[in-house]
Amino acid sequence: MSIELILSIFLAAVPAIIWSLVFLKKEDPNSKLYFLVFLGGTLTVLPLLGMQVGYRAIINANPNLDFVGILKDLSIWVLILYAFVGIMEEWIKFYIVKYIDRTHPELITTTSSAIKFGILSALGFAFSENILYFSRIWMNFGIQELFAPFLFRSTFTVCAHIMFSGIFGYFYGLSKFTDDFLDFKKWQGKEVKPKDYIRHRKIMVALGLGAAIILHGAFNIMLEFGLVIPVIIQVGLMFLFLTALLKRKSVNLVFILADKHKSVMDKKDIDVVLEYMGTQFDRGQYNLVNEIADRLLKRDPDNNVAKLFKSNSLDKLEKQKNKS
Amino acid sequence: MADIAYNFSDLLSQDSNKKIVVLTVEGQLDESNVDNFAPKVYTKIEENTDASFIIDLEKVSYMNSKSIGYISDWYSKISAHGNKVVIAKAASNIKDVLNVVGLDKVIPMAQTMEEAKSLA
Repeated sequence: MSIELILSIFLAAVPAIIWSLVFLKKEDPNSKLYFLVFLGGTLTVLPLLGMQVGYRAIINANPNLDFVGILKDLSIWVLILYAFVGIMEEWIKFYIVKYIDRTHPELITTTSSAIKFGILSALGFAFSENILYFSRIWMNFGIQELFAPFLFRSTFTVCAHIMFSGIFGYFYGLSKFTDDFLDFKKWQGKEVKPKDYIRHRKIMVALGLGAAIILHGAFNIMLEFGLVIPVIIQVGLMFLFLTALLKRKSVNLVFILADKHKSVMDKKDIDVVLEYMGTQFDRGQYNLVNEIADRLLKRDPDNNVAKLFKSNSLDKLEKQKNKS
Repeated sequence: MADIAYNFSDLLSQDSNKKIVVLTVEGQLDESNVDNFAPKVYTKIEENTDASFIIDLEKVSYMNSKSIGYISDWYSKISAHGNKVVIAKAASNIKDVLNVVGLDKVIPMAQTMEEAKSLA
């Protein structure tokens, strides 16, 4: 292993560590498992490397072929960027999160933990990608050319990757806790049909993946055209969006995946209380809803819908407080 | 439609000889009947602006959230006239629901009719 590669690994680790400190708490009990998600993310660069090798093989086999020129003439270069980079990278990160959630469903218990999973897989991916970039630049152009790319990639590129996957993670969380979110809507008097549960799950994942792919594609295209200021604005807006999401109580709400504590109330009586909470929530009686949720959770501690009423009421109260 | 029976009876309070209307309900108060039943109570409240009310829920096995909303609204109307409302002899599950939604904070709950009369 060359010294350039070893030092590139160290350089790539710097933004990964700093960004993980920004978004993840040290005292998190799942820190070790989060590290595994990060490692999984680092492997996601391999299929892309394979595709790049394949691309180079085609170019080398046909040295006279102006591949990029042909694509530009066909005006599908933009599409290729979207398809190749955006879809592939986000799809692979999605599969990492999905695979780990399937094998360890107990890890994603909040929407914010789904966001963290997304962030970690993105950090792993960005870490590997940075090693490749840094080592290539170092070997081809020398260390003196590394400073600017290191600075830009460590800040904006890594941050952008975090945002794409973090936003996806948010929608993944909404998809995972579909039953609770739709029950919460149902008790507010909104019409929820049985088929809506399946549809909601799929739509949320599609929305998250779609948003991540489009944002990623837009980011890459703007970089391709040297539009640095719009890129900075995009990353800044995504950062504000994601940090605002992570502050919301409903996003940090811990869902119970299986009833561990037996309720002391009958289901039909709990339903009456939830329906009453829904009516009061619609009337903007958020303090009352919060108090009712507390009393209900003493009798039925694992009731996720009551938790949703509580966290959403607190979010609404906080919003009202900030307005006044 | 769930079966429901109700009746109103008048009596005087123990302490102040004040008029009390006792509303006795029997059955299940749900979506199928509560909107037909509630207007009768509103009429009775309007006819008895000088009376306190005791709502006897001993034989009520189920109340939906709308019923709770109606009781809360009846309380507002009755107390606006300076009168009292007491819930009497509610079954434990009904009492628990009313406790969780916080209705027992504004409307006293009595175990017996005698206790209800003394509170009204």
